Amino acid sequence: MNYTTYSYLLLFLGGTFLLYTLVPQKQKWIILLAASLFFYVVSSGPLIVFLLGTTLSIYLSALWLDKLAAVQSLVKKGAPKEDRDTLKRHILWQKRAVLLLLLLFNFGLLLFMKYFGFFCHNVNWLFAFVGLDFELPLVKMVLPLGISFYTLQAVGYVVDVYRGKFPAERNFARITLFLSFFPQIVEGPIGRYDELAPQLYEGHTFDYERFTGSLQLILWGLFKKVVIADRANALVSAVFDHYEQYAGLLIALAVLAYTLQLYAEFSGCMDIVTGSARLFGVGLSPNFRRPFFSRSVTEFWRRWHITLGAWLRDYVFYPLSLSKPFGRLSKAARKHLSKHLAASLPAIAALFFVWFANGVWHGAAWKYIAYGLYYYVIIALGMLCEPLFAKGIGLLHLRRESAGYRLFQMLRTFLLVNLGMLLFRAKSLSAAVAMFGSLFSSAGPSLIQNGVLNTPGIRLADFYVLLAGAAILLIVGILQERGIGVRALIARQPLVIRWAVYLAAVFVVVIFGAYGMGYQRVAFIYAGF
Amino acid sequence: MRIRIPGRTTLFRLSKAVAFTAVFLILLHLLSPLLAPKSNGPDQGMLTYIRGRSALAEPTDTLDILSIGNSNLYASFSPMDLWKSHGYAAYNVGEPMVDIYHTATLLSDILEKQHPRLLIIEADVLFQRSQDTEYDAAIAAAVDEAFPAVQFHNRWKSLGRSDFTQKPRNNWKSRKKGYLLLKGTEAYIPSSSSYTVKESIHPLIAACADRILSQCRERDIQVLITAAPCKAWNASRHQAVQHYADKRDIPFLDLAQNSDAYGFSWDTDSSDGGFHLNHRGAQKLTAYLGGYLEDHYTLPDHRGEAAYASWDTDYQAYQKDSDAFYAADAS
Repeated sequence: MNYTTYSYLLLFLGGTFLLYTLVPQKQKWIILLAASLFFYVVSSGPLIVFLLGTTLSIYLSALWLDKLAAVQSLVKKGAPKEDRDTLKRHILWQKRAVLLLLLLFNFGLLLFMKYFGFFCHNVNWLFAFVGLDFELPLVKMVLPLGISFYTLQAVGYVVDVYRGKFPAERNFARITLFLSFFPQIVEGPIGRYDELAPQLYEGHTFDYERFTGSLQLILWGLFKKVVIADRANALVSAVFDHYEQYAGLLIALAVLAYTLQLYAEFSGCMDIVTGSARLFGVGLSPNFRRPFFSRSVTEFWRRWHITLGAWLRDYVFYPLSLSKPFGRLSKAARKHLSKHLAASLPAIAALFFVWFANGVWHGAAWKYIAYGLYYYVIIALGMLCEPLFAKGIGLLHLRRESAGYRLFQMLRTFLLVNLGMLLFRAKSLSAAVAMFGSLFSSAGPSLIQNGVLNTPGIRLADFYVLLAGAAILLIVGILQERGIGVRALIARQPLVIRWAVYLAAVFVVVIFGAYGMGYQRVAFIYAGF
Repeated sequence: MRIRIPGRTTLFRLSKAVAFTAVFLILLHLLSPLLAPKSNGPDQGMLTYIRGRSALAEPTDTLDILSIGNSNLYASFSPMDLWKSHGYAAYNVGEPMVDIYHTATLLSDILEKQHPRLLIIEADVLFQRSQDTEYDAAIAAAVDEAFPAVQFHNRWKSLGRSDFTQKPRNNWKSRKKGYLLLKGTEAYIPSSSSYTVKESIHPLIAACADRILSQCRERDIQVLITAAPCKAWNASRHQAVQHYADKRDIPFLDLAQNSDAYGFSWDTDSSDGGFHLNHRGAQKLTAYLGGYLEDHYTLPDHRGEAAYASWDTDYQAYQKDSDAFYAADAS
């Protein structure tokens, strides 16, 4: 069930909201659970068994870990001193074993479902390369809806229980709701149990301000998705799917359009799902914070797909960089190299795994691995060369906080991000390389033909809508960067102005939306990951 | 389980939301005449609607056979051939990839002007599934019918000064009576695997088709379901349609399964590798269908009637295109 369809917005969301509002507070979470399971079955059918399997695995392992933690505290208090260390080590070993089993089961499932075909394809290529007459069967798997998202959320929950952040949930139905909550199952945001679960179970009474605010957020998301992203898709597909026919500025235009499409679509989806969840009084973690105002690639990733970055930071980067081998690396660097390298080398080494995981998570293709490593190289080089940059800035007497320098940093980041987008959207790694080369070529049709802008796949009128949409996003972004909440600003206006603005917004979506005859409905891109 | 009723303040505030929705719907209604096409022709931003909607331009009470469906219909059945061989006044009301819900709306519009004796439903439209769920397709059709501004929202790109002053007119005619003459030949080799797929008619589609049937019953219009050859057709579809037709006591003529009866060949009679028939295939199918209609229905022969003089003129133009097809095919 697509979040932009009538069946979701009118029938499913409307019906669930009505039921949720009418039932007593204590039973409200049951409505959310039933709705979430219904949503999943309608969207993914029998593949719900994978979701339930993951739910059962984290439910049982968290309970097990809780039990071991209870034994651990008993040991701390009551065991004889001579046995205490042995018992503690034994319990720690058991806890690690439980966690390892859980990780193997869930990541094993994810890897098998998502990457087995990719693995077989590459092994077959290797066999053929070395002249072996053997082929693994190429199995095409249908992925359970949201498996990449809910697996991370599930693992995060158990790791947090392992770390003693909170006790395990004892109610299986509740943990099922935590993992399957319908607004976030398709594209996230990846939730944390301690933030999300209490809101889900609490039960919220109807609040008019919250109700209208939620609908406004959904409308804003629809604007981004239906007016901007789905319109940009026609241009992007026309160029990226037939990249051999294009070169130079038209490739650059398509890359810019894709960056706009992906941002409008993913952040638009987040607005729709955040608005949906807010209808039930549930606040989801923000996934975007105006990423194109970032001054560095690192900052960009703190503002883009925030919950994925935070998950990788908390469950991959910290455990690795704070581990003993990385500590030893730091000590060795301090002894043999410099202070700067001693501080940055362990982080750089840990970041490799973070960015490799980031790339692989996005999909089973070499281009995604290259995409992750592209950012790794930029960030690692940035960290290594930081003293050089500082020296250069000093020599040139540049002020880091001047408006000009900040703008330069933003434009530099924007350029690097767009190159990453080229890699991300290209049909393959070789296509990305070819497209990058074509950027500097003048072969093929030109950007201006007979005095008119050439916009492959879309009419000029559509292009103007795209430009206007991008301008609106930019203006709203600038206002938000300055701490001005646009919705709050509108809410302070008299009723006539308020309604005029809201009606105009609805009509912009209805009239300028890229839907209906002549347009293909575009599935959410991140739902495919 | 006790149900909680919202308080007075909440109800008052909710009434504001209802008022807002009402204002929106009124504005959408007022906007509809502006965005709705001013003609049924291609120059009015009708996109792909032109063929099916050209039936609206035919003089009142002149059509005896209406056929509804998608591209499978309008590429496989040639009313002009039927006119030549039997003098039947037939018309294809087909649009590309159209769903049954939009077809039902268009048919209702046409039936306000025409009283045909026979309605032919080309079965592929019963399997024309939405990109989303069937519920979405059904709701979208209902919204499109209630608010043409939604269906024709893309016409903002082609709005001219006349859109603000001109009233809609159905003045665009199709000389081939809704038929699309597809050129070229691309053979298709049927694969046995396509016959293993299990398919059924979605309950919402069946319900909409039932509404069409009851409309026909009320107007004393006979109904025939046909299926033209296409690569998507299979035994499972045949069974589903046969079951549907038997339950409603409607004849079903499977021209895909019985294609040998009229000498149809996938080697020579498809224009695009099995998706659609080319003109040769359509002529073979129409000739067979004409014989079937003659045997099973009492339909008037209008040849020589003054009111149908334009059909002879249209046929001459059609014959030229037909000759051009065979000439190009031979070369």
